[in-house]
Amino acid sequence: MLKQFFASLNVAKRCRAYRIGLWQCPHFLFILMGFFIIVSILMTHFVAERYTSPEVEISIVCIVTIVLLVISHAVINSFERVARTSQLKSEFISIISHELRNPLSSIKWQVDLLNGAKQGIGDAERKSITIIAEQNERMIRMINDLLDVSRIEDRAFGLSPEVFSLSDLTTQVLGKYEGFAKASNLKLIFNRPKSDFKVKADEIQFRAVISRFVDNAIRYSAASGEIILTIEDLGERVRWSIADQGVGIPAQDVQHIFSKFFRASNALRYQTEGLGIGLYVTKNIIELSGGSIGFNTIEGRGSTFYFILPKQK
Amino acid sequence: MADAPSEKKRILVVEDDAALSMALSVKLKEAGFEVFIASDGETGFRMAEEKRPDLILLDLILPRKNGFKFMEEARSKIDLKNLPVVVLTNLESSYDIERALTLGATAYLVKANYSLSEVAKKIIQIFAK
Repeated sequence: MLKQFFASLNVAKRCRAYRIGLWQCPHFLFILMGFFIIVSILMTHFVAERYTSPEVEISIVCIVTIVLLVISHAVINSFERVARTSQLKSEFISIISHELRNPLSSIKWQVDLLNGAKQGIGDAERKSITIIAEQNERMIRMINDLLDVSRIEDRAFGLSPEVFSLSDLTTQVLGKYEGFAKASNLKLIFNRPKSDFKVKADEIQFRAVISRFVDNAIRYSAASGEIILTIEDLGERVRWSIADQGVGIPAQDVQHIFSKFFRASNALRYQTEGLGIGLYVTKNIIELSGGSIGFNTIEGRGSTFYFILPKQK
Repeated sequence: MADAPSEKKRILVVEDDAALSMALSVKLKEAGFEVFIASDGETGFRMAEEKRPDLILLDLILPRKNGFKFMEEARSKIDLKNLPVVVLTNLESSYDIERALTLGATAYLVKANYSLSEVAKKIIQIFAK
């Protein structure tokens, strides 16, 4: 605690970390201003004791005020610089999102056309096309995740809510993961409820949410086993959950699992891929949609992740 | 002799990336639509007035007239103001989405997140409403 406090006083180090000069760094300027105020009060006291002339006192007050104005101006400039940098970052990300995703969209759609071709493509070529499609989707997902993090931080995360069936969406996503699960000796079991639950949320974002949960469950599962998906009626709300028999999450990592760029210590042993932002983005999407997220886990036995959303009547 | 009335719905695609507009055109024709393509905003606007499509698929970042300007101007034209405009872009900030919807976009689709079949399905849904 004390160590952290003293570390926070190392202004030069903090300013270096933000990659700004000392005279543009708000931390340093505030400390300088505080120090100057203390010194000027003490000096005014001593000078006022010795010289009783009002002209001297007025001059001192004027000098102190001018110096404070200069420092305040520097502080405001430094904040403006931070705001400008933030604005440039947002614009840069907006351009990057467009420029990087356009060629990926083009690949995606050309692959769609190839997949739609009924003649002239053999089995071997179809396998290659599938790999291109999967890798392209992986790249799109990574760019989307990074953009999502940036938008969450800028509070510019745009959701387009619409009414959709959670069961249908889950079935659609599972269809895409059947091959991957089979290749991993895993069985995907979906306990589809008898009645259909509609929710109002951003369907595209929730497709990404469910995909991410299924993808994680497969990647962090043992050599074989079951992954069970369940949708339960909670009255006014609906609970979606996915239970795996995988590696689980170590106790010391549980509190950090939804943190940005965090990857559990045992996750790194099983999967080298991944940016460690999937669950951070997922949590934000669910909470921005009026829902909540949670999980239960036992290391070495598996995890159950769930989210709860209000039902659409 | 007057032309026989066409039952095919007519879609104008305003997209500057030729590979994307070509893929869209193939898929939408397959889905039974008649497709026109414009590669910049001004040509797109002119074609919208001349061809009177049933729906416009509009990119936002376009040469010579961007998608926002396109929608702003379309709103002031009696012939175009009720025409459904589906924005198809890779911009995705809440600011861009809100602005497009405020300007009257019927739907806002992010290209990277939609397959060609899903775009076609969305258009069919819009016509079905």
